[in-house]
Amino acid sequence: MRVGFFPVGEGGVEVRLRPREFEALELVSEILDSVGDVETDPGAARLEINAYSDDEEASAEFRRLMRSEVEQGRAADRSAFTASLQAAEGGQVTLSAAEAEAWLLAVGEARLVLAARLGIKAEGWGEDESEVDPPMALLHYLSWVQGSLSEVLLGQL
Amino acid sequence: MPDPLYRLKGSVSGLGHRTIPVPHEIPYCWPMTGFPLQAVRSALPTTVDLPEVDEDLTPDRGWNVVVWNDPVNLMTYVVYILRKLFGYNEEKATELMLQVHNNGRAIVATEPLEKAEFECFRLHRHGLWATMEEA
Repeated sequence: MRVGFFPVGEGGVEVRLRPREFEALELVSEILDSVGDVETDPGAARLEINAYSDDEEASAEFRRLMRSEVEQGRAADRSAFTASLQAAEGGQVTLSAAEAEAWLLAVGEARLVLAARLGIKAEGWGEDESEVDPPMALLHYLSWVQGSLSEVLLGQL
Repeated sequence: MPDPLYRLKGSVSGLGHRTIPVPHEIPYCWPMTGFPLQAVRSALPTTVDLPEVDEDLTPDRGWNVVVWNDPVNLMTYVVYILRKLFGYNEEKATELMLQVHNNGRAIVATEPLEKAEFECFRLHRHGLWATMEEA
């Protein structure tokens, strides 16, 4: 079986992965569920919206106004992502266009949180794939998911 | 009889040699008052005090939506998001992505405040670092 993401129908995506990969993807939800407080969790700090780079007061107001919409959107992405993972059978699941977007956002967010917690602050971290540290290996795997899924979705624009 | 107003053309002090359009059918103006031309000339203001303009009245040049480089989101992903959110073609989206990558930032849109806030919000929802600044 060819593994990966493949365009199907109207903006849909067929996902074909090995069992170990589905296990890795289950960690995406766990990472997102574990996002804590901005003061103590670099992952939460990375997701914090700072809309005005030189005006903390305006940024705080912007966050306040957007908070519920951001949270609702993120929760919806996460549940759509989790539901489609659970719907997978025999290593395959077909995503609608909306589900594919939810995958992209959930995986992207988990990558940001994970990378922030790993202290990644500069380019070049992705070049050394000999790292066997499990969180880093997961980040590399999620990079592959983000890249492959983006390619498929780009092809459908 | 030549129109007396004709003499105003081309020689009014402080206005250089531009031809000043003078209507021909104004019934009462300086020739009727008997003032000599020189008196009119010396009374012409050379500078004009413009009223102070409140800052809010300046034309709204809009707000720049800026995307900042981050070391985590993949280039392909950034291109896809810029294309999806702003409808840019591949060339434009790639150009902006490279600008972000090479210069650390790029202005991806300039909009009135409300629209800029909306775009900024959407970029954040997609995990991109975005800010707004006055254009």
